[in-house]
Amino acid sequence: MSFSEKMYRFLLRAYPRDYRIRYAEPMEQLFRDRLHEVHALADLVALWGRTLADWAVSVPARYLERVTPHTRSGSLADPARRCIFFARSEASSFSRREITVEHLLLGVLREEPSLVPGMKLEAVVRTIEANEPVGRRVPPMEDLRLSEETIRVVAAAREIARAAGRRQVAPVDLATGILREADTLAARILREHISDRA
Amino acid sequence: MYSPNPLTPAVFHILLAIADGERHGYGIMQEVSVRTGGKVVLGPGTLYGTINRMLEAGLIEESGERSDPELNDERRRYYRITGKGWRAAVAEAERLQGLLRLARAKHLLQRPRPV
Repeated sequence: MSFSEKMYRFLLRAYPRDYRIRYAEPMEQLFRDRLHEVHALADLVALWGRTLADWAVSVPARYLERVTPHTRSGSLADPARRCIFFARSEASSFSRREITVEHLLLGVLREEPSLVPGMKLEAVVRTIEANEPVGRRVPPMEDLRLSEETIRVVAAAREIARAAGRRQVAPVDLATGILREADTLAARILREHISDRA
Repeated sequence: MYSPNPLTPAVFHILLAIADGERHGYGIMQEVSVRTGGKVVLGPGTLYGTINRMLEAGLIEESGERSDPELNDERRRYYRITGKGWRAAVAEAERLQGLLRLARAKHLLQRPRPV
């Protein structure tokens, strides 16, 4: 084992124990692979410069994740954000200027397909497509806003999550929030599916 | 306020790297580096920290452990994209495409920058 490998193994001790158990070996392996690319002293200096910078950023980040597991250092949003991310993509593909509750339902189903047992995403897409004023075409260029109903759904989902003692809004909270917007097509789709299954 | 942008550059790069097939950590790092002309080099800490979060979020999954005949006999963990990861990558690509279209409409790509 080279001096660089020994040094890197020593640096890995700074990571949290459970993370180290899972990833120390592949991290060492990756460092070793990069060490094999080194042919001159300048390459070695550059590799160590990048490695130390990576270490200095990633060690605190791993500890921060343990303290604030819900934010994950902002690197990956929570499931509710991903639902809205998918909903935005749906709204955009329908050339809409706002994200409606129907787009949100599609976003929820894309994020968690097994949330509503027996509900087929393709069938929901077809129902919503049939009720959209325009078909799928070139998406608008500007950023999209949440519709009034969707804002209410998100607020309701927050309340539902809080009442259940959860800090993070889950897709199921959004689905329950959608049901509360009883006049929307999305709520009707959910209601009909649930009553069909009962 | 919810942001419609849940993917960091590191997450998107990793999804792109494994979009056409499973890769191990070093393979992902090489692919990202080559594709970005060496501008993005994911270090071990950043790469495996991001992989850990992506596994938790269900965007990728481990597809086994074996050696890579092109490298050496060491056993390596391979990762592949999931259906959810694929949809997230598509949605992010569409979002970026929309922004690019906007930049083109504003002539940002032709007009010289005002002094």
